[in-house]
Order: sequence, then C-alpha cells, then structure tokens
Amino acid sequence: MPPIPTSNNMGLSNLLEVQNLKTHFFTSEGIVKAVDDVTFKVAPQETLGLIGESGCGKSVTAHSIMRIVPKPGRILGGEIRLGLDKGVVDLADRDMSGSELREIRGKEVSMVFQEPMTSLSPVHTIGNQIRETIYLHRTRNRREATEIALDILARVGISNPDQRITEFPHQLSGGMRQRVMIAIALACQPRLLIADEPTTALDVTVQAQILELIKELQEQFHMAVLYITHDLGVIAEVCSRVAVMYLGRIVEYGAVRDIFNNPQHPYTVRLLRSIPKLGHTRRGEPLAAIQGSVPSPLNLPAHCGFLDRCEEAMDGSCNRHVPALTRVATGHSVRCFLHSEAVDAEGLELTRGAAAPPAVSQPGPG
Amino acid sequence: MAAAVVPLIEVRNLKKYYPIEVGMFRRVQGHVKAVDDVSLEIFPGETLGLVGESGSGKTTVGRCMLRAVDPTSGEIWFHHEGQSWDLAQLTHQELKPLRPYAQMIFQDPYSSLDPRMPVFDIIAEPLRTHSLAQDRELEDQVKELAGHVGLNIEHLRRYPHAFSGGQRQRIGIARALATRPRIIVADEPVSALDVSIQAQILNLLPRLQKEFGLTFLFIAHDLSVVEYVSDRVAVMYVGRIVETAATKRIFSAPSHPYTEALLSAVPKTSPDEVKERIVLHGETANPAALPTGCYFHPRCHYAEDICKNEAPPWVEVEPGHHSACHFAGELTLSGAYPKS
Repeated sequence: MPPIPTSNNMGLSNLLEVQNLKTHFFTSEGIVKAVDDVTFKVAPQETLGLIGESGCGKSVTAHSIMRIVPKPGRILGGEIRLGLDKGVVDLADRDMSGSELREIRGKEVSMVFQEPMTSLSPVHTIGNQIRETIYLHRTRNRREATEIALDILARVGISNPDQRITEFPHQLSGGMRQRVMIAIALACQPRLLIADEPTTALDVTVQAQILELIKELQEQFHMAVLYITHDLGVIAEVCSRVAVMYLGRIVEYGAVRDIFNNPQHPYTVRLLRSIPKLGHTRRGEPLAAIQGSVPSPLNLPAHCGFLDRCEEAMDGSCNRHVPALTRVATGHSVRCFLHSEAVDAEGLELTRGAAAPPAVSQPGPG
Repeated sequence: MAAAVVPLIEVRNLKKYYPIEVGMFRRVQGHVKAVDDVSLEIFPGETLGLVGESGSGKTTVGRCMLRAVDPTSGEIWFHHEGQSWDLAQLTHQELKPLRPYAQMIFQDPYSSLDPRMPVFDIIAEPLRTHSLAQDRELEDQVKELAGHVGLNIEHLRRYPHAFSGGQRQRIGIARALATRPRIIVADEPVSALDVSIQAQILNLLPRLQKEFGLTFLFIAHDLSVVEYVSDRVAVMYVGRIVETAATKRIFSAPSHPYTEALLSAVPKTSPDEVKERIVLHGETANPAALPTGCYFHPRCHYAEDICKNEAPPWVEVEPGHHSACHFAGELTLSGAYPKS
C-alpha cells in the first residue's frame, strides 16, 4: 500500500515501530531465519542500541529497515512503520515502489556502515559523494549543494573542508573516512540514523571521538539513532534503551540501566559477566564464559535458541517452545520461560508465530 | 624476588625501518619507522601486555622478537638455562634449534590455519618439523595437546572449516604449545572473537600458562583485556614505548599523557559510570613523516615548547615504572579506576 495521506503522523507516537519483522534467507542449504519475529520501537530523538554477537541478525534488521536486504534474503512478514510528516509508511510493504523508497532512504532514514573504506566509492571525490545525496533530496543547484556539503563536513569535524572535498577516500585516515560517511548520512538531516558498528574498525581514541560526534550531532539535528554494536561498553556510552538479540530474536529489551544493573535473560546476564571490566575484574578470577557457541542459524529449532548454552534450561518448556517476549517491569521485557509468569507485555510480547505456540502460562491477548 | 632475576627476553634498541622506494630504480626516499628504538624485558613466567593503536608497531615488535621479520638493528637477547643468544645476530640455520622455544598465536583464526590440512596435522606440524616426536608418540602428544586446550579428540581428522572461531583459536593455541615453548607471542588472540567466546579463551590462557610454565608477550589494543591478563604493561605510540609499569600502576597512576588519553577513551563499563573523557585531537602521527621532539606533542594537552624540540628522556618515575615524557612525575594524570 502507498503511504496513507494523513495531515500529521498522529497515528504513531514513535518514530519507528518494527513489529513481528521476519527476514529470511533462502539459501541452497536451507532457510536462514536471520530475523525472526523482531519487535521494537524507536521514539523521536532517542538512541536505541541493538546488541548481539555475529550472526544474531542485528545487521539484517537494519538492512530490512533500509530495504537493502541482499538476495537470497526476503522480508517475509511484519511491519516497519515510520512516522513522517505526511503520515505513516510501512517500509516492509513489498508493493512500495522504488521511487517511494528512494524518497525515504537517505532523506528520512540513513545509514552509516562499519567499514568506511569499502562503503565509500574509491573513484569519486568526497565532494561528489556527499553532493549525490544532496542532489537527490535537497537541491539541484551545484553551488548550493557544495555549500551544504562544506557545512556538513565542518560539522562532522573535518578540517579544511574546502580541500577535503576534492580528495578521494584513500587520502583520508580511517577516522576521517568514518566522519565522511557520517557527513553523507546527515547531509539531508534524517529523522533516523542507523549506525551499524560505526566504530568497530577504529582505534579506541578515534572511537571516542566518533561516539562524541554522534551524540553531539544527534542533539543538533534532533534525530533518533538506532545503534548496532557487539560492544557493551559502547552501548553503555550512547544508548538510552537496548534490545539484546540472539539468533534472530530479541531476547531482552529495556532501558540501558535495567539491562546493565538488572539483566533478566540468562544470555544477557552471562554476556555482561563475560567481559573483563577495566578496574573491576581481578586477575586470575575466571570470567563467566558462555559455554559452547552460537548454533547454526540454518533451520532454527522450535525451542529457545539459547537452550544448549543455558545453565538454567528447564525440561518441558525451554526445549519444547519458543518463549514469548514477556514484560517483567515497566519497559523491560524478556524472552525466557524463567519469567513467563509475568505476563501481559505492553504491546511487545506478540510472539504468536505459527512455529511458536504462546508460552504455556500466558493468557490470550486482550 | 631480588634484582638478580634474569629476564627471559631482553630487547635492546630494536629498530625496524621499511624503506619507501620510488621510481623505476626504486630509489629510497625515506623510511617508515615501524619500530624505533624499543627496549624491553620479559621475565620468566610473566605476561607482558603490549598495547597501542593500529600502526604503533606492536605487532612488528612481536615478530622481530621471533625473527619472523628481521630487525634493522638492535639486540634481542634470549636467556635460557644459563646460556644467552642474541637472536638478532643469528643466521636462520643457527636459529632453527631455538625456534621450538618461541611460538606465536595469531589474531585471525580463519586465516592462520591451512584449510587443506586436517587439524591433527596442523597441531603435529611443529613436532614433525623439529623431529620432536614420531608415530605413536606423536599421536599421543597431539591428543594430549588437544585435550589441554579443550578440543574434542574425536574431531582431529576434520578440517579447520568445520570448527567455529573459538575452536579454531584453540587449534592455533595447541599448535603453539606443541613444541613446549618457553615464550609465546600472542598477537591479538581474542580480538576477532565474539565476546562470549573471548571469555573462554581468556580463561584458558592463564591456565595453560601455569600448566606449561609459559611466558607471554600479549599484544592487544583492548585495554580491559590487557588489564585482565597482564602482570606488566608497555604502551606503544608510533614505534616507541612511551610507558611501562606493573599493570595496577599503569592503570591507576599513568605518567604519560598518551596513556592517560588511551585509558580515558575506553568506553564505560556501566551506564551509571561517570567518565571524564580526554578527547585527543588529530590523528596518530605518520611513521613516515614523524614530528620533531616528542612524537606525541601535536596531540598532547600538556605539551610545551620543549616537547616540540627535544625527544623526551626515559625516566624512572617509581621503581619499575618508566615513562618517556619531559614532565613524567610532574603531571597529575588520571587513571582508569574510579577515584572513590
């Protein structure tokens, strides 16, 4: 369906609502359910962190929102509702035309990738790469576009923008390249910035610079950020709320303080204990490693994905059903049978997939 | 322990320059000073953490120590059972009998193992190369090694692709242990692994250190990992060591401004932590065109005129704590630990 033409976006109190998103990859070896029933929201101007280990589906979630899921991947179901001035659009709608998508991509939602070297074009100047988005969404006038580009380069902290604009990516350092990526993403002042591991390839001192920069720009541009990372420290640094992903599903969701100070899912608990913390972890004290490794995402089991690695797994529930995302406190939900007595999630639990019967003790909706 | 403890490895004024060649006749136009006058000691049984950002030369130091690359100049003394060798002077023939004593663990478990070799042969290769074991004995030793690092001995006939990242790193560790080395250079052994797997390896290394009586040079950029594994830490900045001290001291009372900045850049461990951040301006110096004086002065918040003109001396701030800063011991720098 094309965007519903309403006068405002009153239909959505959040900027972005992802509901029951399913993105699967149909490979020759089987179906990889990279994202399976993911639900979260991002309020205007907030920063939501999406954390998980490699292969948990956090990047595919981002690619789904941008509608850049590569083949053989497909968005199978769910909704990605984005509140715009002209109304609410569903980005998961497969009938959406290319031109409608291009209206949104780069203008309302834009993305910063992990590897600045591979995501910038090596044969175009920095200036041309920034101007490309500006031409598409803001102005066709070359001089105006150049002015906007210079302004944005200065704002992301690049010295001598006049000179840099004529240079190529290989002439810049890693940190500078990532600044250019951010400049391109922000050139049209999007409402939502998706940052997919933007500092993973950078050194700590440069990472600190980029994190500060994103925080600053977020305030200046009043934008929301979906921050994808595997680094708990970065989450603590920039996010207000966090969604923890494991094997294609969100297993815990809550305010950053709840997640760090009162984690409920066994995976989150162990993950937090498994990293050495500067000044807190004593030498020789063994870290709480999580046994085993992430199971193959091919043909996901019809039970809790963390079962084989969980020390608290219960027979009869954990090995039979997929637990529902259940509310344990205001704004704090967990997908685990240890907490399935606490029911009625605020429009969040919603795990009624065909493969997954609802949690045993959970009453019907409504 | 008295001062009489002989270091296992003693590196003196190590330099490794790579020539920059231009033109058809490969005229040497200058040098990239990857390692520029590094001296350090590693004592038996300890773990020395070597930290620095990318391009600081930490990997090159590790490789020079094993003569995986040949240093431009300097001495690398290896002291073992009353004998001493300057590894930098030996020919490759002369080095061969010493090779079993020093081994390496690599960063990327996906590219450091031969994909066409079964795991058994990967682990057995050093034993065969140095004719340390044959036939039955070889098999027993490989199985024992696999057991030590937590690999299933049933799986030894498989190829590396059948293993996950964490298990591959275990294979790499078993191979490094095969010759019963005295020292292991571990170059970013956990940075390519997921956090939950990283902890498994971080728990394994100290256990093996005890069981095999190992000495580690642990190269890493992640400061919390380095703090967790190291007895002493050396911080490198563009080819030079700027500070060394016992782990506790360097993290609680750094005496070089670069160390301070590096510590402050580590992300918070919890959202409630209040952290004062020193954001460094600019970029790491280019090792092909180094600044004058102290290499760090263009980014240093405390720099004064002397820093631009003179290279800093190597000062002992307190016993066992050295720093290359004109103002070492005079500045009040904050460490990584909360003040309370």
